[in-house]
Amino acid sequence: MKGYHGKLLVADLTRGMVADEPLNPRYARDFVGSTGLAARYLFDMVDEKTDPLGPENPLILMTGLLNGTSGPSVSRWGGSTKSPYTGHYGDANAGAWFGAELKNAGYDGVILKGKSVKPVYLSIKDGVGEIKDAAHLWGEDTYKTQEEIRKECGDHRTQVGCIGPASENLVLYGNIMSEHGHCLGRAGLGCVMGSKKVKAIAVRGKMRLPLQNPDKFREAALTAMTEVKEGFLSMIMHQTGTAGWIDSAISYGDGPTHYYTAPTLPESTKISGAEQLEKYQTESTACYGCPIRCRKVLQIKEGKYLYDKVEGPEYETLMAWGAMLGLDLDMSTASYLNEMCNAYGFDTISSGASAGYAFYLYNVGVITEKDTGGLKLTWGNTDAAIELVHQIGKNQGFGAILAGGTKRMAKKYGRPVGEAVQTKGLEYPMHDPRAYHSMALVYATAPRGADHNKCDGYQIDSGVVHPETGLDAGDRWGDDKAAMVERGQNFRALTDSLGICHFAQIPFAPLADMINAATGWDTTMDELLKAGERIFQLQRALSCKLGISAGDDALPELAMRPIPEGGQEGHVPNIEKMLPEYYAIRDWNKATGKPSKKRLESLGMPEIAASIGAE
Amino acid sequence: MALVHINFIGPWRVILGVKTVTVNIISIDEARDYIETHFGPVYQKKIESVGASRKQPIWDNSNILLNGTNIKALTAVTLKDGDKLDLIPNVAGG
Repeated sequence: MKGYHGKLLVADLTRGMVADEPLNPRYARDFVGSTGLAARYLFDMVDEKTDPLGPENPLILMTGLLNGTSGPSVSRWGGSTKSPYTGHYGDANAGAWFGAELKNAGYDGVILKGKSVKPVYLSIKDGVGEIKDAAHLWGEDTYKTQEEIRKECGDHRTQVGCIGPASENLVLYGNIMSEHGHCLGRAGLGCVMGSKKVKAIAVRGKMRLPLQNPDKFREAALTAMTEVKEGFLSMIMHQTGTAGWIDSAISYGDGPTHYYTAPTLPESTKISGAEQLEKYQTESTACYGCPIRCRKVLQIKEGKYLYDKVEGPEYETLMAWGAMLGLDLDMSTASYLNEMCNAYGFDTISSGASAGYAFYLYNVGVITEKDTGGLKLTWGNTDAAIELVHQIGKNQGFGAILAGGTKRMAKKYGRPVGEAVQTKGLEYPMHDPRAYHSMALVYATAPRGADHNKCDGYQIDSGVVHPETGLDAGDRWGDDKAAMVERGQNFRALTDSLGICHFAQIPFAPLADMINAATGWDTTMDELLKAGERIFQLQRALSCKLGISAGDDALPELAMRPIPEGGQEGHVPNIEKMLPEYYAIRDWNKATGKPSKKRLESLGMPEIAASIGAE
Repeated sequence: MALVHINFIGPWRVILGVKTVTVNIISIDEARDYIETHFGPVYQKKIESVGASRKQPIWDNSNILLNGTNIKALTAVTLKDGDKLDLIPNVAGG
């Protein structure tokens, strides 16, 4: 197999053994890599009865097809599991250097099975996997863990994907973390790793990836690299990173504030990407092979928490642990909150949203200091927010309630489920569907639950759109978004599986050339976009296999109340119109939500259709 | 002619080194010309400073809000005294 190493490392943690397994070539051709390929493997390994924290639930990590090559911005790798947080399909993808180094180590992916009785870590170097003792690392935060493992390996270029105390303590939205703040987040992949007592996976190697035509690949990669470097989006992301969106979020009313009940807090501009660029940014760093360099290093010389060098927080974190709770943050406190979440290793979106819901419940009088362990959760109480970060990380006190997420919180306090702003158990990210109606459909239909990364509708309607996708910016409050969301989801399913960053707009011609030169395929972008559709429909089918149905494609009532002031201007998405239109395009059954047998078969997945009983 | 306030939002403020200018113009076309003439060279220098070279118009890569309403898709807009134009760069979030 060209473009792949053609093998996976399978670790049987119960037996303490590792073995190589050939990569299924048909799965690779049809589902490409990363989250696509991981979902296909997962489909065969779980069902509705699988206990997400039991030994039978696998944790599957896969490289993106282009990881480790000289293509631009091709760092992203991914994984999937049955989510302990949502109880159904869970996936995640991340950037940084882990995916490329796993390829260098000689593998296309890793599957963790079973459960170890004692803490271990998996070392993979130059085609050899080994399970090592990690008792001395258990309890360490994600930064210290990476540092210690690099020391043990005697090679500072070793890349480490690890869990922190949060996942050891089985916080359900625990992350797998690599470097400073790069995570497989949202769906609790870290929690599953913690349940298996696997502290980390360390990868390093110099094994050359076999390419079908290296010269042709280099030529196409160079063209792609030039185009990415010259693109406007690259330029602007290089300047401010994702935090550059904050000022846009304020203008458009996109940033949830006071738990979805108030216009976006204008004070958030103090922690914006522009502010960071002007006052705090000292350097930009990059994920593997990326000319954009959107990662920001800050120096904080004023405020309560001082840093000579600290990773700049991303937009999602700044909003979730900021305006969501009504916090008027400075960069010092924002950086501290971000660092703590990353050190404990938990998802900043779901945790911030859970804290936001707690603040909301406190402010409407549903809970009191008796419930919160004495914390006064008045809007804007930064000290309380900081305390909650620590309690969540330790899964202790009132934080243990928040560690279960908003859906469980609503149930615990006898509140209507529509008050918890989530879909399928996963909290909304920080793009409000009342600011961009397309996001309502994106959240309602994304396989793992509310997930902005499955289609960046808010970007498209802001004019940030790949020019060859056939998508154009439209009215952000239009309710005619079904076709746009379907196409956008297919495109993102493809780029995620290839391992391409969302900010890299690689023209289609060199992209197809790179893929063909790497693999020896003779594919076209139309065929690749069909693979994107196949992947998305597979992930949906897997969600259905694990218990999701049409009724779960619902949006929470609280976030459908109009906010007349600010950038939303009182708009509310008409999901009753959009969802049936979307179902028709996807060919999903109105009652069960399952993709049709005909559609799955047309995408080459008759076995998936049969498995879920598609009609 | 109308006295119009042009606000450079977020990243534009820092990259172009200006927060607000007040200019005497009558139409959106004039606003565009003013911005590209006065700030295009500043932006071009920034582009070149990071190793790129292709010319990128500020206007084409922005959303334009007139008194809070996006007018990017409109072609003929007449301006009046006190109007506020916000230029928001086409950036992506997380």
